[in-house]
Amino acid sequence: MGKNDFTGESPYNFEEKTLCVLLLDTSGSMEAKVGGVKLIDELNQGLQQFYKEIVNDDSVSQQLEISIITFDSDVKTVVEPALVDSFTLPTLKAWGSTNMTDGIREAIDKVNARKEWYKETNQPYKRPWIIMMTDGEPDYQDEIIALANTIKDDMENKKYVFLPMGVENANMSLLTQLAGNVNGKTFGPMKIKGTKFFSFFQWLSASMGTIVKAKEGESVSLAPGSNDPGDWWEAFTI
Amino acid sequence: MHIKRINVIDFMRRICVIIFALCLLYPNIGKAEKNNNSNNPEIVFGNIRKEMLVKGCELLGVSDSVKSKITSISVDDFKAELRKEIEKDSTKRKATVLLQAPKIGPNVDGSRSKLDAFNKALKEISRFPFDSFDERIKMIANLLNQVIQKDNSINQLNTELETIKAGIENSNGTDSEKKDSLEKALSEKEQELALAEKENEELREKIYRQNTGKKKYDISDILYWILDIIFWILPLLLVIIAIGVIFIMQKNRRNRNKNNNLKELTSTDQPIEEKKIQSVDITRNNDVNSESKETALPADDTKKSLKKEEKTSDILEDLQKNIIVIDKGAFATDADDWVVVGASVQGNGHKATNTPCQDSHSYEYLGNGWGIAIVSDGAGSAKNAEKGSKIVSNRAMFHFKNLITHKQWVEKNVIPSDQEWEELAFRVLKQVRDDMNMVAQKTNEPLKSLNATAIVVIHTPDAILSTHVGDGRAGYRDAEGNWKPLITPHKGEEANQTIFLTSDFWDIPFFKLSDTRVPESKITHEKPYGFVLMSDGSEASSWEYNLKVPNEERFYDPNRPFPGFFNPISNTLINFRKQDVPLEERAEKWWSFIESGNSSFVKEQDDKTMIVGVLISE
Repeated sequence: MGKNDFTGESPYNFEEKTLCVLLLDTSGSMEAKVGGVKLIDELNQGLQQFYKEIVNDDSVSQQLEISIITFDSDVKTVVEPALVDSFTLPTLKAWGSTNMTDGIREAIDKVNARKEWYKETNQPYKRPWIIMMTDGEPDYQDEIIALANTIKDDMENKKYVFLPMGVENANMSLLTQLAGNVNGKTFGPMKIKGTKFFSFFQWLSASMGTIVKAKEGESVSLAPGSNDPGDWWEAFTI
Repeated sequence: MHIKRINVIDFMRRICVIIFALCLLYPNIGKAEKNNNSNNPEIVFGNIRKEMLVKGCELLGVSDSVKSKITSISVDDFKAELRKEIEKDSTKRKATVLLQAPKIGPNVDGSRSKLDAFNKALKEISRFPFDSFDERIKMIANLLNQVIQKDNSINQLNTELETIKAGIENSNGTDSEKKDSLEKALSEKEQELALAEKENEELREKIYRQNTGKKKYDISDILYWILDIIFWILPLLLVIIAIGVIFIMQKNRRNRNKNNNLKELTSTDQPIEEKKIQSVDITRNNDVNSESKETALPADDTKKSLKKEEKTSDILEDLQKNIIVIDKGAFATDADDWVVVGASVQGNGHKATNTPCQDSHSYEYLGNGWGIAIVSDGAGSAKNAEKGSKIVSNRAMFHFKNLITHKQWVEKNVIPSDQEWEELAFRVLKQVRDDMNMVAQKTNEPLKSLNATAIVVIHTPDAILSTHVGDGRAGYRDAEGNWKPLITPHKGEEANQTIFLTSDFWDIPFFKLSDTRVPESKITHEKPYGFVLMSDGSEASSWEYNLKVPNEERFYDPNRPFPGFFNPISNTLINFRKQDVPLEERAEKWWSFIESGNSSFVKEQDDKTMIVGVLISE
């Protein structure tokens, strides 16, 4: 850019980190076919798309840390929090029941531990996100209420943003109980139409691109200009 | 008049607070009374359940805060609290058993299966003394059954009495023998009734003792009475104190107003007329144009300061010829030995959402090597951020210039002491905040809709005075050409959080954020050869703030202006002067440099502002 008289060098600063925990339901029911396509296959394909879009963005790939936690009969951390260039995406398999409560606990623990690590290593960071996607009923419904209170309190105290997402036969009224507030407004749950995972993850990567650059309290229109969420999400009432 | 009205509102607010306090106290009084009413079987059994739960909590290591939520009637609060604790501390999950504590009533056998299950579950994880509770439950159930029976027989006696009384009235005067026998039967029944009532009373007394282990009326009852009285007297005392405080405050305020009126004649504490603020905040650009600021000076000034003002504006008029402001939001100036440029440019994020640039800046040269540079960053989250930052850059310029003129710092080339600067900077920034508040009130918007930061750098021949609230960066160039930082940005826990001039920290003594005083005011006692100030949108391109320790997962903020960025800029600015490049061209070039002069500026989502000045040294 020699045309400008002032141009010199720029320093190499590391980017401020934003953690996004994807908490995914891989219970047996994800084997179900919708319109001839298995939900789990669609989910895997959507994840690949998400991964590719983040990797291809020079700036976002240096800011967005991803962690993937799955819950079926067990809870597994498939991907520990890291920038996209330091892991490869596994293929998820569906089996077993829906241990959602332990999954959520694990995600919250993961977020807290990462924040501690940011503080220890003196890294600036922004508010982490937990995005939960489920298609069924959790195993221990009675524990959900206590957990919902924890989530609401934590969101009130700006500890993280929790976004519940429902697929197909998900219990939306239960997901509504789990939704907390962002800037005084209930955030989520959203319902994904059929097998529109692909569109959802496209929207998510675009939104995360906006979020990692936003300032505190700024109202970001999620994924401006791209993919209208109307393409994949379904309005619902309870 | 004005002051009086505020006090009435104040007074009303206080009254509301007192009424609120009374409402808060009321349930306590109610509780004190309820505790006395121990004959109610619900409370009697509730007390046993309460003791069982307390015992269970002790055995399972549940915290005192949870225990305090157990009441004799309802355990809902306790259960909610316990759930929260279990949620937080997974080692206490065995305490889930306590959530199963059953309700018990006089029909003990009916609750038997639930009680047994609870006992069994508890015994599995702790040594729970169930038998002693069980014994008491049975004993009280027995006593209560007796009371119920006695109650029934009393009712029966009452109806019999009624019948006899009716009989006496009917046989009025006809058969004296029959009447006598009826009257005899009446007195017998009455005696029987009195006895039954007495026995019943004794039974209740027994239950009460079983339940609490004490006599019916003892010291604790008297204590309740005393507490009740205190609960009523306390609010009354509060009212009296509040009225006293208001009275004293009113008196003080009146005195202070008197003093202020005197001070206004000699000092810079000028009240700003509303008209003037509006002309500044709405119609004006954010740039260096001093004329209307001169007109914004208060008219009711003393003759002495008016004269001084005229003198300064004469000098300023000469200086203004050397400044060019372009509409996009940039300026360039030659001011004695200083070459200064500045620009505010909309970030890419705001371009995409069609939000105007929310940064503002202003610069004014005061002569004698003195100049004021100001940068303000309007919060992206605030509705009128653009207006907020404009008010800051204009009003801070106005007030700081006023301060310097009245103190005659430029003419005498005097640098204040560190402490004096800290106090004055605080006061002036507070005035700017008050101006913002006035605009907010005039336009019926909340103050926080104007949220904006402020960085003020005053360069003098021998030192730099700086003060700021919020994030952004500022620095200076020393005699050897090294660039050094002037301020530490105020940041919250998350990287994108900061504080604003409009935030409520003014009344908190020694308020700090990210270990830095708010506002952070200091004097750097070194001759400046250059200065820079910027909003945080420009820092990624120019400042070192998040570096990694090599071979370690550890990061640090050196808060260092990047020489590779600033040295070419100072050289270019000096060359501009030497080659006599027109000011308009300089402003244009500076604006397009900030707009897209390097890859970080191109990438930047946030608005970008930067003012740089360098000193031409022979």
